[in-house]
Amino acid sequence: MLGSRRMVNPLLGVYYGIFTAGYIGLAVMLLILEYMGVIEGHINYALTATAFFLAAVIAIASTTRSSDEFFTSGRRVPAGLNGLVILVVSLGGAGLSGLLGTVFFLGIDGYGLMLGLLAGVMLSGVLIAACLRKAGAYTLASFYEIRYSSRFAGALSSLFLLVPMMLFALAEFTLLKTLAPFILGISGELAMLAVGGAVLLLLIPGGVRSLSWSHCALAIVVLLGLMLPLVLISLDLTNLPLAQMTYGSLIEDVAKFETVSKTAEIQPVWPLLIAGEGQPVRLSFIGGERALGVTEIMAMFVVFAAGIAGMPAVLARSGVTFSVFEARKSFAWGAALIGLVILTVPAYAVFMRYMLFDPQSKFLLSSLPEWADSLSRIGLLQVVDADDNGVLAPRELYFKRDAVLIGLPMMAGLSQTLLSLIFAGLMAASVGGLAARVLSISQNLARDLNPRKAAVEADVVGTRTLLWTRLVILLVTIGLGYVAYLMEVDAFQLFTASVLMAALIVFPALVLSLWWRGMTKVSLVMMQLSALLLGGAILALTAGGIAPGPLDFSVFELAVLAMLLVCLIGWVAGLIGPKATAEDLEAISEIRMPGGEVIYDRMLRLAMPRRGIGSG
Amino acid sequence: MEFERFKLYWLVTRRLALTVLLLAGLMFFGALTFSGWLDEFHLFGFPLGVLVAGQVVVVVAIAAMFWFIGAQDRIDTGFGANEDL
Repeated sequence: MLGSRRMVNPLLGVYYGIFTAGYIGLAVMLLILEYMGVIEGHINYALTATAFFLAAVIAIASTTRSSDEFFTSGRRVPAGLNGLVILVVSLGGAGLSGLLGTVFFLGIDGYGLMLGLLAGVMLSGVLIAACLRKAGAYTLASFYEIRYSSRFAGALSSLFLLVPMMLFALAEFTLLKTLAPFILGISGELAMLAVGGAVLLLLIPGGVRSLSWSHCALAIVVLLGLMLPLVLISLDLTNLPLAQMTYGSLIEDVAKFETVSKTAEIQPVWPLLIAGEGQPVRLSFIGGERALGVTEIMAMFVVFAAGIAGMPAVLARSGVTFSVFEARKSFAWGAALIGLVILTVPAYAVFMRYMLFDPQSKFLLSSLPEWADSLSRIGLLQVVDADDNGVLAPRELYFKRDAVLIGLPMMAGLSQTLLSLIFAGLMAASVGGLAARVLSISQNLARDLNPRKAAVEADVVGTRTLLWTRLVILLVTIGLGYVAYLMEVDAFQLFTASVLMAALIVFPALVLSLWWRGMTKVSLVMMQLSALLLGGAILALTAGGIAPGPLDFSVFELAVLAMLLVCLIGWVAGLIGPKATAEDLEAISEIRMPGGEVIYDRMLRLAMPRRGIGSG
Repeated sequence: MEFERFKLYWLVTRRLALTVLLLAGLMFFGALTFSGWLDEFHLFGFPLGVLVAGQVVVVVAIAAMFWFIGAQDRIDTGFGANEDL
């Protein structure tokens, strides 16, 4: 309950240390058993199930009946652990897999996307997190309500905010629908049911509280899955364990091999990449002809930076910290952890290219290597013997984008246990990203679009509010799962669309709301509405980002132009429309000042006596 | 806090944020623009463009982020705008 905050548990680090050690211990035990020949199959189940079982135990142990705990985790999540949650929520499985595929196929051109993710978390930390934490609203829509003293502006914003969140959630559901059958050997439908169940287990018991603590565990699973197998591959290829520092020495060799192997024709790589279609590696990692021009790379960087900074589910992490200072620090830790992933991603791409293009490895159609056979079986690789000579050149191997994370350890001949570590990490990233969106969407629907919002806010003890929110979580999970089941769109395409919509709908309006005193609710509505229309038009004109748009502009270049136009619309609306009221100016001044009581908590505290709660 | 002092506080805060973002932006854009040209040189076995865009920029950006929160906290404390915890 408000006003009786519990302190941060000093043993949290120990608990997560035990979790990490236990998880690694289980992997080592499985590895030994695998080498002894005791177990062969079911290792994927064992590691993935253990990771989710432990995360679910943490979520259930975080069950709460307090509204404050359910919606803000008691505002006592330490910065470092919040950084772990930010990592999972920003990337998700679709983002992680798409990032790896992009850098693998585009080489250094893909760095625009990679650095955009890092810049996005930086932008959130520098421009947004502190003010959101001071306002203390449970959702971004409620923040707008505080900022503009207008319930209408808040409710309308919550409708606009649903768009990027739903696209992201659908991306994760789609990825899990596609990959879980290969990983767990069950049908897509059953996989979606399992994922829906996992999401409910992570959210229903304690809402944001369950999400916060369980996602720390999921983030550890993601990092271990991404890093540990790579250490062994690096040792194998370079005799040194730190892949992030060693892949550079292979780039020269890769460049030499690529010159021999690549086709002369440079076909458009990005459309096939974003659509999830298979393609051979046609571009050098560095140098040579490039797939994207400098302006396209810059535009990609800007859109991903603004999109990640504008993700409502990521921004919600600023509200769970102990203080404004901790909110900023959370995003610094988030940036550090995303930086670690970014340092790692090119290593995956270079190592995989090195193994693929190595002239010593000759692929015969009659005796495909085991990894090619496995990837073909799960649909991530198509072999096309174009010159019909029975020998496969790298250009005759059509990889799908999601093949990189799974394909590299297979090519390196790692054991099933190490592969399972990666699978579990990918599943954890995906379920983590999905759960965060389901919760944000549910909060939007249960609070901001609730016609009885005043009654919800006055229900500080929260028994009815929590019951209602849990019911909405259940309905949202079922609804999104059903839509994803019907959809046939690629996960990364949906992820990119979600980022683009967040970059247009959320980021410009939010930054101007915080940094421009002249911003009004009319500007806000105009900006969000124009952003939605422009974003929709861009996605329609470019067939969801696949085809070039008008005047041959790429989807990202169009999005940057649209962002500028949205800002201009907001500025003009602020100048010629109704001026900011004294209430608006007072609100923004208070929001900008870190000290003093959290604004939303004060509103709730003042609502309490009216219901006779806590009035003594 | 009186209004004039608050205005000064916000001016200093804004200047810090813009400085950090401007420098970080220049760094990001510079790395992405010139990586091709830098790749002609090598350092620690890495083509320089890959090293800068994939490693140096990332590490410097993270360090800048931590420096920023420290500097902002000093500003908050200096103006008495920090929180009473």
